[in-house]
Amino acid sequence: MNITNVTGSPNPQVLDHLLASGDPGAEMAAMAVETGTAERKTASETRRAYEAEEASEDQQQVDAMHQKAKDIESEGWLDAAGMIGQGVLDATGGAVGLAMLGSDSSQAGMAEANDVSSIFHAAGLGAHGIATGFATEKRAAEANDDANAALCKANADRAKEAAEDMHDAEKDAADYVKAGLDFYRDYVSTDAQTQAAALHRA
Amino acid sequence: MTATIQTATQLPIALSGFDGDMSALDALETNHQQNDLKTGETLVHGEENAEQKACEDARQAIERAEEAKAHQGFWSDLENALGDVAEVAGAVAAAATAVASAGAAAAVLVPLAEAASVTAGVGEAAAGGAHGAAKQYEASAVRAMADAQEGTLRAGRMETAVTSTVDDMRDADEAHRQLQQTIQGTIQTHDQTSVQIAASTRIRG
Repeated sequence: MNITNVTGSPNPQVLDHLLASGDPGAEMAAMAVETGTAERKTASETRRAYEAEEASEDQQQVDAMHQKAKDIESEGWLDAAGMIGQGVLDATGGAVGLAMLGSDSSQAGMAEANDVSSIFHAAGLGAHGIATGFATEKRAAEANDDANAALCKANADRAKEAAEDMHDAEKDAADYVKAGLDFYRDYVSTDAQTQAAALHRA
Repeated sequence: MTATIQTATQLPIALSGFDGDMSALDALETNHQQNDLKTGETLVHGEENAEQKACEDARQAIERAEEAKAHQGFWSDLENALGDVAEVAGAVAAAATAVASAGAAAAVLVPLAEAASVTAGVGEAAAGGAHGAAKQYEASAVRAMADAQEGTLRAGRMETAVTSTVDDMRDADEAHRQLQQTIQGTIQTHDQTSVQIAASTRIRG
């Protein structure tokens, strides 16, 4: 947001009046002022475009961070599911083993309980492994989100710098307008002095 | 010379003669300057309000992030503690199974191994739940930090906009002043020249 379109340049009606005055000095000054004003307007519009780009890149950076939060959530659920699955299967294997030992505490029974427990343990590890695989994908997506956020930040910084350059260009154009007005003041003064000198000579 | 021009408020001004023209332009420029100043003040006021709101949003988001991090810390600690329990129980189960399979005190060690497996499993499952909770709070913290970043960036843009608007107002004011000086200088020079011409004419007459 800026006020360049409403301020920073002399009233256009004043310029129109000077342009139509028939006085070459006034017309030249008015043209300089108009040129400076047009340049300022162009720089101002370009600056606004860069500022809009900066805002858009900022928003994309924030969106990437929000996406990372979602990926962390998903990763958390997958990891948790794997750990809980493994824990439940481990505990179930142990409980089943204990129950089997309760009904048969012979050497063969102990070996069988141990085998059953091991099978549950292996199944738990497998379940955890699968969940970890999916969670790893989410961790990769988080890294991708970080990269996207960094890229958007870099783009936003670049757009900000470009907007600042355009702001400088606006100032240069404003200086041009000032130069036009200075010229007109000097022109009028010189013209008057010339007329006075001519009168004195006459 | 007579002309009619419109002021910024669309009021017609009748002009007559060089001084009349220039005085009307001067008045027009003053009016334009005042309008610009008023518009600029309104803009700056709006931008400053938006900046303050963005700062406040960022501050609240940082508070939410800190709160979420504190919760995350608690659940992470719990996960670590439960994980340690599960790990120790798992190690006990593995050691008991290994010793029992070598034939020593199998009647005691095999049940111990199974009981340790149950403990390890419960510990692992509980650690999984705690891990899930910790990750949800981590995600909340990241989300809150994203909101804080959004507020900070918005505040930064508003601050730039305020600076830019104030700069523009300063430039505009200077341009108006310079144009008014030019107009007034022109009137003065014209008047002086007219007086000199009149004086010269009288002397000749």
